[in-house]
Parts: sequence; structure tokens; C-alpha cells
Amino acid sequence: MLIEARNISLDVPDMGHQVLIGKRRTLRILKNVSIAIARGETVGIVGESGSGKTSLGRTLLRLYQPSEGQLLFDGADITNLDQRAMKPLRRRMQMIFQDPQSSLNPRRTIGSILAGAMALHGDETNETILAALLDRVGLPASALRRYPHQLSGGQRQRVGIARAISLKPEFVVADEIVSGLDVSTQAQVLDLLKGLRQEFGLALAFISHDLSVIRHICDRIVIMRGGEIVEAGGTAETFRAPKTEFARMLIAAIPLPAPDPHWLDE
Amino acid sequence: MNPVIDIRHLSAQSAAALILRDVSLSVNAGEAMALVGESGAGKSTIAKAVLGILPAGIKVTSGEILFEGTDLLQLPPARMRDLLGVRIALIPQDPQTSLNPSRRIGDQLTDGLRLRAGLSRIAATAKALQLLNDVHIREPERVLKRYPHELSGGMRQRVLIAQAFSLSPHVIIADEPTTALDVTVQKQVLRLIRQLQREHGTTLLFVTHDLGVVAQICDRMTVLYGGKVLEQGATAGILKNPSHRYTQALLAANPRYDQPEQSLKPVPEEVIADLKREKSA
Repeated sequence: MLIEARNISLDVPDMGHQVLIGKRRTLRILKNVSIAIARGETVGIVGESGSGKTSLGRTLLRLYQPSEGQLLFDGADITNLDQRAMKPLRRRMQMIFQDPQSSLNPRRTIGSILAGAMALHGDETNETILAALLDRVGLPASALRRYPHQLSGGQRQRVGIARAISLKPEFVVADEIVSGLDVSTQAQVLDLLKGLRQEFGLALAFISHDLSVIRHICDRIVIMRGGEIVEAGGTAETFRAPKTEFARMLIAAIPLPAPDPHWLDE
Repeated sequence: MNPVIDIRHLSAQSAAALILRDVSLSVNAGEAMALVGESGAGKSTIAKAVLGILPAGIKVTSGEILFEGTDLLQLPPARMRDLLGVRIALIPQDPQTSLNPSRRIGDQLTDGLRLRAGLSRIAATAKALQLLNDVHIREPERVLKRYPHELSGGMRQRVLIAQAFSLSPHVIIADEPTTALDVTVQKQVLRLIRQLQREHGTTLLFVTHDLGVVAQICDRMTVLYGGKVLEQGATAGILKNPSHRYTQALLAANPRYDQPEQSLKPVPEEVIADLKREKSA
């Protein structure tokens, strides 16, 4: 397994709780979660809002430090590494964000955004390298001199993907990367992601609220609720025969584009 | 049957581009009509034109919007205001920003009842309680005293639905009312809209990008691209046998968990290229 979480929990300060004296109470937003992803494997993390799926993704990248449990990357324990010790690992694990509108600096050109990520890790960048990178995600070299607002949503998400793969990572967390896109664009971006996954042999954590998309792209899925994993299994099996009532209900709540007079009443 | 909403040859443009091109569609009494399309299709613009709330930069260049026989585009603003909320109401997309954050739910729900229906404060509060009951909100007495931020997204959307139905409008325009909600909550909200619509015999104009939602709650649908109507008809018929290539491509692009092999196909580039050529012609 490339990345593995063993019984991790995550506590955050409870901002809804007033403190006069002493320590602020904490909220446990991940509870005893275990998940492992091998190279070349895609695991879907599904759940409704507030279920902890994004927090889990960020914890897997060690952007958050688990309060309990153990986090392993390529066999090494990274649970308590400091920033400096994490740095060489950072390039091997990357994130693609939900909203390319707000995750790309509006005042920098696409070329400068992409070069920035690579320069940070001491990689050589020049026009040819950056153009090749853009070409890999299906964008023309002319996009290098554009600003994010001059691109469409789908094109911006391609830039987000280009930035993530620019360092040739081994593990990528994709957090709701198609939820803001039109269906036609969504299909193209997912096609691109599938190609890159194969090319790089990525371990991919694919976070989404959309079970239909998950069904298409993931080998296995974990279903989260209230900070816990309530069901885990192979994607096809889970859809065919969900083990929990919660999973069954989630699947049944997806409207299919074929009229079913009984769907609303179920 | 006389249509309740009859849009005839509606065109609109902004400084930069044509936004609507010769859009015609009619909705009969008690019917649910979907306006479907991707971003930029013009579906929200049509909804805003009916409500008379087009953004300042967009002007209607020709056509008419008949509501029960009256052209809304010719109505003086004061007459239009009399209709809004009373005869034509809106369920907005975003329950987060559509309620006033600094006023209690009860005050916001009773505004229309007192100012438009002329109810007394006591009668309006009683009606508001009944409305919250109708949208299946538990402990409505307590919810009336709450501020919007104290409610979940699904609860807020129910409040907005209660508000839309409060003055028994003839037409309700729902603009992507469930896009911001989780699927399980979406299903409850859709069920609620459909149930109230049937009980009141309300005519529904439902704006959405989600073909699954259309299939489950709309009788007829209009498919739009680039401000143009591509296809129109009974939902079941179009979804089963789409005649336009774009509609076919859109259906094939839609991910379906029950058909993992046949769905989520990118829209062929030539389909989009053809539409764009048509658009610039």
C-alpha cells in the first residue's frame, strides 16, 4: 500500500463553544478511520456534506495531523513528521481542488502558476516543459500567457490537474473536482484523469458526493457518515448489494434520467 | 387548453452577445415544465425574463411573454410588482443567500401574508405555522423564532418553498432549487415540491441542468443550448428517444450508476462545433 491510515481520528477546536477560562472543547470530526490505497488504485470517498470526506482527504496528505492513529506513506510513518521532514514527500503527494476558480491565483498567468509549483521543488522549468505539460491535459501552449479568468471552468480544472501532475506525484487526492462542471465537460475531465492515472500509476483518492461518478471511476469505495466509515468495499459489489441501509438509501436517492413513477414515493 | 405561460419568439441580448434566440414555449395549467441545459444555455435568463428581473445589461429585443393572456413585458413596473409573489412566485437556487440573515423566519414568512394578502399579524402567524407544517418542518413554533443560520440547508429550502406557495400563486418558477443540497435531502425537497404543486394545481417552470431530476418530476421539457430551443416535448418521450444530436450526447454524457459502461461519454466535438457554427451564423 502506498498510503495507509490506521485508526486515525482528527480533533478540531469547537468554535461553536464559548470559552471564558481554560481550553476550548474539541470536536472529533474523524473517528477511528482506516483506509489504504495501493499504486494504480482508485478509492472513492463518498458521503454527504459534513461527513468528513474532505477532512479525511486532507489528513491523508498530512495537511492535518491526526490526533490519534497512524499514517503511513510508502511504508514510512509520517504521522508526526515536521514541515521540513515532510517537504521531500510533498512532491510525491498532490491535491486537485474542487474549485479551480478560487484555487488558482487570479493575478498570475497560467505559466507562472505552473512554474511556481515546480520551482518550489527545484525542478527546471522553461516554456517547452510547461507547454508539454499543458498539452498533456489538452490545453494549447497559448494558455501559458492567459490568466485564470480568461479560461472556462473546464479549462481551469485542466490547469489544476496540470499543476498536480507537474511534479509527477505518486498519490493524488481529487476533492470534488467535477462537481462545478457541466456534464459534457465533466466527462472530458474524468477521461483525462483516467488517462493520467494509468500513465503515472497513481494511487488516487477520489472524493465526491456524486455516487454515479464514483461508480465510473473507482475500484473501491468507502462511504462516510458523521466522521466514520460506515461501509467499504468493491465499487461494483457495493452498488449491486449494499451492506448497510445507509448506502442503500444514498444510492436510491440518485434520480436517473428515465422516468420512474414510484421513485418519489419510495 | 389555454397555456398559463406562453413565451413567443423571445430574443434577448447583452452588449457582447445574443443571450436568447427566438425562444418559444408554453406551459399549461398544472403542468411541470423543465428548462434544461448547460451553463450559458439561457435557462435562467428565461426564468428571469418571466419574473421581470433581468440583469441591467440584458435587454429583450423582441417577443412576448404572455401570462394568462397578458404580455408581462408590456406591464408597468407597479402592475408587475402586484403579480410577483402573488400570482408568480420563485423558489430560488441558493437557500443560503435567499433569506435575510438578520430577520427571524417568522417575520420573513409573514411579510407577504400581511402586506399582500392583508392578513392581521395573528392570522398571518397562524398561516405561517400551517405553511411550515405543509413543508413537513417539525416544531414549526420554534422554527418561526429562528434565524436562517440556525437552520440546515434543507430546512431553509423548505422555508423558501413554504414562502413561494404562501399566496397560492398560479405559477412557480424553481431555479435549480436542489442543486446545493445533498441527494437524500434533494429527494425530500423534490417530493415536497411535486406534492404541493399537485395539491394546489400550480403551474411549474423548473430550471435545472440535471436530467435525472427532470425525469422524476417534470411532465414536459425544453432543451436549450446557446439561448436556442433545440427540442421540446413530453419528458418520457425525449429521454427515451431524443431527436436532437445534442440531447442524445447530453444523455450519453450523464453518468449513470446503473449503466457504468454506456454512460459518461464526452460530448463529441463535432456536435458542439455544429451548434457553435449555427450560433454564430
